[in-house]
Amino acid sequence: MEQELWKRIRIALLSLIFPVLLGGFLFWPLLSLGLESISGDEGALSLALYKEVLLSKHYLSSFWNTFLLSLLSTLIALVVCIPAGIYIEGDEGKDRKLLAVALTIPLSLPGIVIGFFVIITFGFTGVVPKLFEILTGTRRLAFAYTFYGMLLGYVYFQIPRVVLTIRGAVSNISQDVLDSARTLGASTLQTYWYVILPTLKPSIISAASLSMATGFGAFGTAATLSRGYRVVPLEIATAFTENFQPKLAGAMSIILVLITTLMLFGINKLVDLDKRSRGEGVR
Amino acid sequence: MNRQDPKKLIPKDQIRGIGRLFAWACATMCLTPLILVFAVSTTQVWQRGPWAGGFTLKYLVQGWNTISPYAWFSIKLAFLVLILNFIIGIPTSWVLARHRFPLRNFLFSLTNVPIAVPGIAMGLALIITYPLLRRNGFLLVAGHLLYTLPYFISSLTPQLSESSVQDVEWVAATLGANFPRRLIYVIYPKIRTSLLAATIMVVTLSMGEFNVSFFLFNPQNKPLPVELYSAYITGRIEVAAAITLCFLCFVVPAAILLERLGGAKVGNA
Amino acid sequence: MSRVVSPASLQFDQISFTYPGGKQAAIKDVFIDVKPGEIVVFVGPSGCGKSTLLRIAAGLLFPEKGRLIIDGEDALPLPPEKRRIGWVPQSYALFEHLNIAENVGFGLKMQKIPKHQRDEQVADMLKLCRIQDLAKRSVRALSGGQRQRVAIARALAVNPRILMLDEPLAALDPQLRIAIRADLEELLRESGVTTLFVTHDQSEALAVADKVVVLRDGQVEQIGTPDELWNFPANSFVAEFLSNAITASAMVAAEKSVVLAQKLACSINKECAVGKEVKLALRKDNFVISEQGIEGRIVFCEYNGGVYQMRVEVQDGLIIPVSSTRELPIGALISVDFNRETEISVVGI
Repeated sequence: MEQELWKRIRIALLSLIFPVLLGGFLFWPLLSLGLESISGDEGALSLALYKEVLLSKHYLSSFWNTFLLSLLSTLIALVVCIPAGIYIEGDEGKDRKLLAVALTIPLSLPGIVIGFFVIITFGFTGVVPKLFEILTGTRRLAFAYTFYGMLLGYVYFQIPRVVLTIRGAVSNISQDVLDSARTLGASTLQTYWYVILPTLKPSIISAASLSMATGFGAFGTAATLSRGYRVVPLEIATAFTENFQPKLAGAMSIILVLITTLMLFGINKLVDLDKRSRGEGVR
Repeated sequence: MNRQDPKKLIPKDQIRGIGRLFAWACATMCLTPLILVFAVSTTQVWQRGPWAGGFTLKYLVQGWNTISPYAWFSIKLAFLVLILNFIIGIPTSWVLARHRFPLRNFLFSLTNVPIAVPGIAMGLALIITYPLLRRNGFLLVAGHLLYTLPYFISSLTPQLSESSVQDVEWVAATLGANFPRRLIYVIYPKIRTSLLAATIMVVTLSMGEFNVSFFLFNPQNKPLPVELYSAYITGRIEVAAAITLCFLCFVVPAAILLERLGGAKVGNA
Repeated sequence: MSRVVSPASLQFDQISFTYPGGKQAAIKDVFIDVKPGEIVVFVGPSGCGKSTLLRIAAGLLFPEKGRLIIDGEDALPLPPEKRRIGWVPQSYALFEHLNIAENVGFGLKMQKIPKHQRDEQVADMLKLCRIQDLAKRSVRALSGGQRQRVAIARALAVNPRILMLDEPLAALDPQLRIAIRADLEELLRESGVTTLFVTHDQSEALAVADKVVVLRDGQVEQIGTPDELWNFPANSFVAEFLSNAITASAMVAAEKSVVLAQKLACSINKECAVGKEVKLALRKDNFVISEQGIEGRIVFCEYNGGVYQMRVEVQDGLIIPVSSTRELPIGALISVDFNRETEISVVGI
């Protein structure tokens, strides 16, 4: 069966390309970053840097800020995008296609550009404060560089992604199921609460976890908008480029990676376990 | 007989109404800045208001002159990354789509791992581990590659594993076509649209990538987004807007085309 | 088991409906009257509008003309959730995020019936449909037949005044279909609910129905009991569709009698003027293989489980359907005679 063997070798070789790339350019660098961050001055292992990060008020508040921004932007995006996604994937309304395209355009915009958008809208010379000035005489709502400005930027960033995920999930709900619910006496509200939302739950959870993880790793938006409001990615950048403390930056990076990985894979595992315990099939 | 207007009797769906409202609000929020960017970049003196001082194209010209070297670099980088995506991504997708082998699921999970890693962490790790490779831009390419491959593979694998593609290929085989011929005459036409969508996606992702590039660039190899960033921090707002407009002209039409082809994926903040 | 069921009557009164973007009407001026407790089967080829009619009755589609009367009152202004009907689509549409008991109890929950009472009713219904062992199971683990029973149990749990079934047996394996059909009919009769049953299978229609409505291209071809439709089809379409009849023409020779192929005298079911040319529907039960009769050649023979359905070409190119328990080769010569216990249906004058 020489052909069989040859085929196996081929498969093995092809399937190793990506892992090798990943190993060399992701795992190994992360590993050495981690090793760097726990190596003390004389080469001994020490967790001093981690202690410094996790115990200092400054860095902890950065983590807290990052968490707050991710959480709030995720929640706002979900509240707004679930109905919007349901509408776009529905079957009535001539404006749905237009809305779908409009909401996909921002997907390709990097965080820095979004930050710039917030600046020209709500910055010191932004359109909205200018409008206020024209109408009322005083400049108001120039919050671009504050927490709210960043929050707006993060929400702007999350919306297209969440809408896309929700749309995908809604398109899998069969019309027959919705019609059956109605003939069984469910009002519109009841159909949403007892049929649509429960069916969307897994997708909502995975959209939320991806959203939170992305929020934690967001750098471009924060870099453009932050004037004093610290988030972890900014700290990492500052530690490396301005303070020349690569090991500190490394320690924070490792913590960040652990958080985002945990969020993404941990939450999805929880969803799977929950499904299994309720007797539902898991793909 | 009392005829009632049927349309009034069809019950209205309140949640659809809310959804429509929210969708419009989002769309407005997402698109107005694009118009604003145009306004800012064509205003003489933005500080005094929209088009205060008059309409001008000078910032656009100035902006384009400033960024054109970086734009070209970004384009070259994007295409290099694209070619590497083809070389690495297509065999990987093929193996995932067509073969069952012991660690297949593991490999599949692996292809999604880079998404979980924030861009700056990736950049920092690369720079600290291979400091010498920074100079020739090798790390930059590697970073972009890692960033784009998951999206490429995850959009191509389902297409290749679709039964309609496999069936057609098998029929061609029974009709006597060998593998290279099947590839050219049967498989390629079937996946052409997805391949195009994946291409546009990789190019746009690469051109808009900032988080990883921030650590990995050097003055000779500076992608467009990094230059954008400098403009935001240091430059005059009209010029920054002009540069942004140039950037948008690359990216937005591609995004629309991508949506039309049916494949849109997400990138990093 | 006492079931409070007040089966309703239903009338489609000159209903017309066109799908948006459709070039022709899906339903044209349909008038159907359904009495309380009746099992009425809508049958016809694909696209004839039978599922559409069901959706209109359920409130999922709105006709552009006509009235829908349920229990004497105009039902069109009522949305589906207020019509008190049960609707089971072809896909069964079970809620995958709920287990079986929750599926069956869904309608009761929507009516805000307290849990204690709800559980009782659900248990009753599960027993009636003989799926009590499945109560806690997930939807994904069920076979087609089990899903069907859950879907029907769910619809019956709310004591609907009308039950609507859209091709309930189509998704099942053919060998199970007859057994499950018998079960289903027993269940429907036991509950006494007015049932609208859609199928494209004519044998199903004839087996289950109190009344059959034959539809084609959105219009009613005939309404009647299975017996009436079999023996007195209104036109050749009904005869061909329901009983696989072959149409032929012949001249009336005597009172209620025609002569086929110039030699075979057959009785017909209608009195017609002598000498008139009539269109006939020849069914296989109208003929037998016999020595006395006319000669013909077998042009078609197909085994159908126990009998062979054959077509015999006799003089003048006339094709006669007949069945036999023996296999006979194509091209063989046999004699067929008219079965004097039957009558040939006249379908057109």
